[in-house]
Amino acid sequence: MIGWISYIVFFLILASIYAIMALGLNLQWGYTGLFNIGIVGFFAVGAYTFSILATPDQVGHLGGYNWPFLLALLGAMVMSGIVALIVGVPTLRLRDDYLAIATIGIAVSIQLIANNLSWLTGGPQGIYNIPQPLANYFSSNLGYNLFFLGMMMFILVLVYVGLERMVNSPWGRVLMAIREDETAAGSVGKNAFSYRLQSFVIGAVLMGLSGALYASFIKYISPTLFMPILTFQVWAMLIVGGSGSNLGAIVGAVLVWALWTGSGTVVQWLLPADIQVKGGAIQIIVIGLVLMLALLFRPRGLLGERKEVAAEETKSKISNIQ
Amino acid sequence: MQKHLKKTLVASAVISALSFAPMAAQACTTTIGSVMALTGSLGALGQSIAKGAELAVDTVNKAGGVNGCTLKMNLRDDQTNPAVGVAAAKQLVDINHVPAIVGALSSGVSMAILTSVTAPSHVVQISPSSTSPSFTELAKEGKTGGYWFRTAPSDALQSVAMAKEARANGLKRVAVIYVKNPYGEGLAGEFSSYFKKMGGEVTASVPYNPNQPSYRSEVSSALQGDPQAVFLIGYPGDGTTVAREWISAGGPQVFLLPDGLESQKFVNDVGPRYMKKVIGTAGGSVKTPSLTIFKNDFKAKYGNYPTQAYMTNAYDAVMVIALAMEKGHGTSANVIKDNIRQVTGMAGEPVYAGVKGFEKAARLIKEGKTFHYVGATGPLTFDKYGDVSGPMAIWTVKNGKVEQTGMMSVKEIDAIIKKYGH
Repeated sequence: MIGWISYIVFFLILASIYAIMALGLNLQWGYTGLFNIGIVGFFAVGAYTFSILATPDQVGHLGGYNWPFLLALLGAMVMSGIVALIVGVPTLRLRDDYLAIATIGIAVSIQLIANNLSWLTGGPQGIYNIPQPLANYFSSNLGYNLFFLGMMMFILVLVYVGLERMVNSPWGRVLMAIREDETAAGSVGKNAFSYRLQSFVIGAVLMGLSGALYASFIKYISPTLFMPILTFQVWAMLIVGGSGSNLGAIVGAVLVWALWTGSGTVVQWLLPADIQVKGGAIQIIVIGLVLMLALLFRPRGLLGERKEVAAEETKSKISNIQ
Repeated sequence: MQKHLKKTLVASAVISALSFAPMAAQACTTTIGSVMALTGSLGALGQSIAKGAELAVDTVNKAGGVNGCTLKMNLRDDQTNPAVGVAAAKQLVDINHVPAIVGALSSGVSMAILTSVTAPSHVVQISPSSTSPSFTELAKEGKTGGYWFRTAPSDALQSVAMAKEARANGLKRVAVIYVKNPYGEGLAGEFSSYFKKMGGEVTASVPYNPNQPSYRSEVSSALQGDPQAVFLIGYPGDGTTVAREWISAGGPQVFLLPDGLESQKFVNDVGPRYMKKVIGTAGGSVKTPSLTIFKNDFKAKYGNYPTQAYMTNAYDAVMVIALAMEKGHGTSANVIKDNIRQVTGMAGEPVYAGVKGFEKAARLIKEGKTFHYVGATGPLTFDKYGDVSGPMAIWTVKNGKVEQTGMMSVKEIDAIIKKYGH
């Protein structure tokens, strides 16, 4: 019993780390229509910045600043914001699929930088000894994880409430207007580029925050983590939960992460011992199947609210022409 | 299969009769965990390595199980992804209550599991293939709690052997081209430091990223400084591309090759006639009765001979866990941790791999005699940081075939390390 509690606490911590990323993506895609498939890049920037700032003396790479937890967290968010700004200014002028290509390229570049710029990131060896906040005050592992979960819940609620207030303000309505029809929004005097950039940067800051929290919880990061699959996981979370809904992003993160990790147990039960080594492949098939079914039966996601008004109009326009 | 089983049963019955102990009824089950890359970038390697571990589980069960209980291995896929690996390991520890985990394969995943799951939860972790020097550093800082072990020898040992062999063959100026991952970086760094101390010169040390279509620029920068040979660190595939471009760029056809390239396919693909001289090193392929037993048992179970590095390391990891549980008459993580060094090392009678080996070990434990397990990778000695030391095999290419030519013992390697300092 205590084992289950311990595992669920651990599971929820990781799920809420993903949920923060999904919330960031929801602001970018769900509300603004920015097709960012370079999530893992901003996650990596946050994770590395936090690790470099917060670790005590380090060998072989930049670090040893020993910043307090909250300050390092803030530093990680600022750094991901700056990177998003640098990336955003040239690329946000691109439309849809071009932005997608640019962001995926940038994410891969960031991973390669992490793997090769050893003086900065530790290269393939990664960074270990990443500190956890208040770790000395807890004697048991479960006790500490409970505290960490509490902290995660607090951060998650803060992010959620903040985002809800933002998207329900006039600012949020402009984002949605841009998402639906950028030309129309521009014609009423809204600078679409500036709003897109703001949304992109805020979303990336949340991804950076998520990366910093991951680094602190796992205490070790290396380039192996920052592969494009992570971007895909977060997209799956948002689509299943329902893009355009902040609650949907959180629910999607929990469900998809449960599917991703729980399917291993199911496969273990089902497969005879002789073909256990094929279990990994079957697990991937199960994940893919469930995601496909979810999209077939709930194409807008579980809690999706995104109304594609403009898209409907465009369709009717096209049919009129025809 | 049936026949084999019968034979085994008879054999174990005879042995139990000899040791005056009745065959224990196997009503109970002891479960250990394993986290390996079965899909993802290391998926192809991982599926074979996992077979090595499962063979060991089979062997232990045929020999009567651990403390009379059936041994079971709960195998999970980490998708070569640290976050997924960590979640899988945590499930094994919390929900399946395993006392030990075999894995992971890549250092990045193993380290994440170690720092966030096994070390804080006090569960033994034995990796069959993670070679990053960071683990030793972490152990030195006391952050592994003594629960970390690995059956793959550290990069330092192989580097020493390679540096020594290169100097013994009269090489003074060597260029290093290495794959940019913990394995390549560790090996290249350690080799350079020992080779320099032995009076050699590393003319260039050039990293390359995997999965590139061409490595011409890496090769040409490695050729600067007029080297006599190249130490090429990598795996078949990209390694083949690098070697071909090295030859076509006019580099000297003298190759120093580590365990990752001890592959007939690599040699065939590059073309043995372009490899005038090959000096190879490898850990974990030492000729002992255990290796033959492992190969034959593997053939009997899977229908083909094992073909790949680290399968023996995974086999030994499981065997060592099982022997430690048997020796300590328990199944807890602490029993395993405290007894691993009691069943390895050099003291007492040698015990080899296979069903007979495990039965012999069980008998010696009952008689209160000391023994040490000689693994399929060779004799295993774990130091206080959980690192294994083992002899190194020296190999070459003769008439187009990969062939072992000699050995460098643990004593020799230790002497060199002492002489030149670490």
